[in-house]
Parts: sequence; structure tokens; C-alpha cells
Amino acid sequence: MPSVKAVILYPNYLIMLGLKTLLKDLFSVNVIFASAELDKSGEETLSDGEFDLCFISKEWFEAQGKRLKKKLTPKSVLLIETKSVTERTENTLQIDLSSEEILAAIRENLATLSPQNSNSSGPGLSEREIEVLKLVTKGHLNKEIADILNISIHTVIAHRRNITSRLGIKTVSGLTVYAILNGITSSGLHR
Amino acid sequence: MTLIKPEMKMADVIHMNFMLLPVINRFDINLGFGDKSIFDLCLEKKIDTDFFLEIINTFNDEEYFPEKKLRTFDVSLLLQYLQKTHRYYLTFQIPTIEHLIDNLLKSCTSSCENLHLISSFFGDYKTELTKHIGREEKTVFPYISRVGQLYKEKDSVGYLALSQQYSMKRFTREHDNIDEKLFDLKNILIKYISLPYDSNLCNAVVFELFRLEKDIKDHSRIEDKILKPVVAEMENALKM
Ligand SMILES: [Fe+2]
Ligand SMILES: [Fe+2]
Repeated sequence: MPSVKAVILYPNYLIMLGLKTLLKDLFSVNVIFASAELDKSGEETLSDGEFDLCFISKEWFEAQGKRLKKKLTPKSVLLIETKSVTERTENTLQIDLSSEEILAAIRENLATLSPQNSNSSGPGLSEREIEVLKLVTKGHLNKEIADILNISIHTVIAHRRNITSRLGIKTVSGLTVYAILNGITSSGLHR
Repeated sequence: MTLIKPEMKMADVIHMNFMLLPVINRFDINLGFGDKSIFDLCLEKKIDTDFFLEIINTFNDEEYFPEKKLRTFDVSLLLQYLQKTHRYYLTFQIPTIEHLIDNLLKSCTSSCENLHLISSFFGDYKTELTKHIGREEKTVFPYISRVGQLYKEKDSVGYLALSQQYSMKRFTREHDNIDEKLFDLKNILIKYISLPYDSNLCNAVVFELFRLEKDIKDHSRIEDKILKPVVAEMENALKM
């Protein structure tokens, strides 16, 4: 499995370095560029787009021109958020998450980059994904699923995105049919 | 992708893309064109040739999108076309698929519960689509044709009263995606149903789902990318 190429751009040197080490050691990610300054070489790396995933501070990303933003697909950027915010979006990573949550969030984002590699046979949902799928088919909202499984809503969203991309099924009723067909849920017909 | 032009023979166009048949039917053009060109047929049926061309080119080539050109037409033409499309779904495409699924159920000898699941999923989809179309035809389209009238009469006062009832802003909020479930159903059949059902019938269902999905996507694209901005522009012009 070819390793994921990542870029890190974050104004705090220690955090940048911590993230770099984490990605290298724990996830065997190939960090091709990391900097705590957004200088010329950083901007060039961004516009070259020769990476799979870019970890970038939200402010820096926001400051980029429209042209560049268009080039960076939501799948290829992970915005690092410094302040805690109430509404969490799919491709943000919050600096104040617990260690467990932050690792889960990174893992999920890396997984979406190479869904075909993470599991070689069958639809291959992970156990956690199956748990999430079960709750989705029971009609639970993301927030409720997060509470039940005791994980962050960010992680729930990442799980759901993974499930959809792996199965090719987008709607709750479609997922329900899949779950029944595969004996994941037995609970009767939807509605 | 070839651009369809007025001097082309209708027969040649259909040879090129037979999926256009139901689309041209919506303009009351039916099989047996002989050697008539698009221009001849439009003249004969009193159809606005430019409008006709834009609609079939939009359908023929997903990349083709003449927003500006289509926007210059009267909204009533657009509404008429969209309404005809709605009829086509409800009176033909949906019943066709239902019928195929029924036949599958009838021929089923084992694991029939899975087919019942598919059938009820499609039933849900039908309900959703019927509601969607009902909302458009009862509320949205009448509102739009009224805006079109007021725009012609430059009647801002009349619009002020009308704007209390509906707006394109609300349409933007309410207009939901109706092709996702079709996408799912197609995928469930393609990827996850592997049981000894009649494969010719299964294929037929999948073909029809592909066709319906394509048509509905084209339809929604016209609603969101052409109808909505055209009406919003008229609304703005009417605001005092
Ligand atoms: Fe419609
Ligand atoms: Fe619609």
C-alpha cells in the first residue's frame, strides 16, 4: 500500500512538529512538507497539489485565493481549528480534542483517501462502522449516535462518510435495505 | 459530443441518441419523422426551435449548459416542458418500473423477502417523488407563472401581495434532491442482490432505473440552474 503524502501548514511550531511526528510514527504517512510559516515555498507546495492530504490552519486556508480553494477538494484538506466551535464540519480537526478523538479523526480522514486499501475483501465495514450503521438504520441522528457510542460527532460524521463511500449508498432508507439484506439489522421494514 | 443543429434530420438525431425519444415526445413530436429536419418539425408543430434545441442539447450532453440562452425564453415554455416531464414520470416511467418489479415478485421462488424489500423501497420512492411533484405543481409553478405575468405588466404592487405567499428563496430551501434514492436502489441491485432471480427482468429494472435517474437529474438541473435564476431575476426587478 503506497503511503499517503501529506503537507502540514500550521503557525504554531510545536503543534506542527507534534502533528508531523504523529503522522509519521503512528500512521506511516509520508510528510513531504511541513512548516510553521506560510512563505513562498509553502504557497508553492499548496498550488502544486502534489499531495493527498493537507493539514492547514483554518485561518491560512481562509486567506487563500478562490482559485486555490477550488483546486483543493474537501477530501484533500483538513482544516485545523484552534478555538472550540459548536458546529463541527466534516473536514475540520480540532486542536482541543482528546488524544483518542484526535487519533480517530485522523484515522478516519486517512481512511477516506484509500477506501479500497483499508479492507481488501467484500464491502468490509469495520466493527465500529457496523455499529454506526445499525444506529443510523434505527433512525438516530448523528448527535444521538455520538452520545450512545461515546465518541465525538466529528467521528460519527467520518464514519458515515466512510460507510457511504464504501457501499455506494447515500440515503438512510438505502442503508436500511443494505443492512437488512446483509443481516446487520433484522428490525422489520423501514417505516 | 455532437451539437444538435436545426438543419439536422430528426431521424439522424435519434440514431445518434435514442434516449432523446421521450424528450422530443414532450414537444408532441413522435416517431415517423421521414426525412424532416428539426427546423421543419418545429415549424409544423409551432414549437420555438431555439427552445427545443436548447432542451435537447442540454439532455444530450451533460456538459452543455447554455444558461444564458435558455434564460431568454418565456418561463411558460419552461414550465410546460417541466410539467410534461412530471407527467411522463408519474404516468409512464414509475409504473413501468413497478410493473417490472411486480413481475420479478411473481416469478420468485426463493428468498422473496429481499424482493419485497426492494419493492417497498421503490414504493417509498414513488411516494416521495409524487409529493415532490405535487408541491411543485400546486405551489411553485402557479407562483412562477403569476410572477411571469406580473413581470410583463410591470406590476410591482401585485408582486408585493404575491410575495407574501411564496418566493424563490423558499424554493431554494425546500427543493430537495430526488435522485439519491434512485442511485441507492440501482447500487443495491448492482452490488448487493445476488440471488437466483430472473436476470433479464433484473437487468430491465436496472436499465429503467438508469434511464429515470438520468432524466430526473436533467430535470432538476433545469429547475435549479435555469428556472430558479430566471424567476429570481424577475422577482428582483419587481421589488419596489
Ligand atoms: Fe420538477
Ligand atoms: Fe423538482
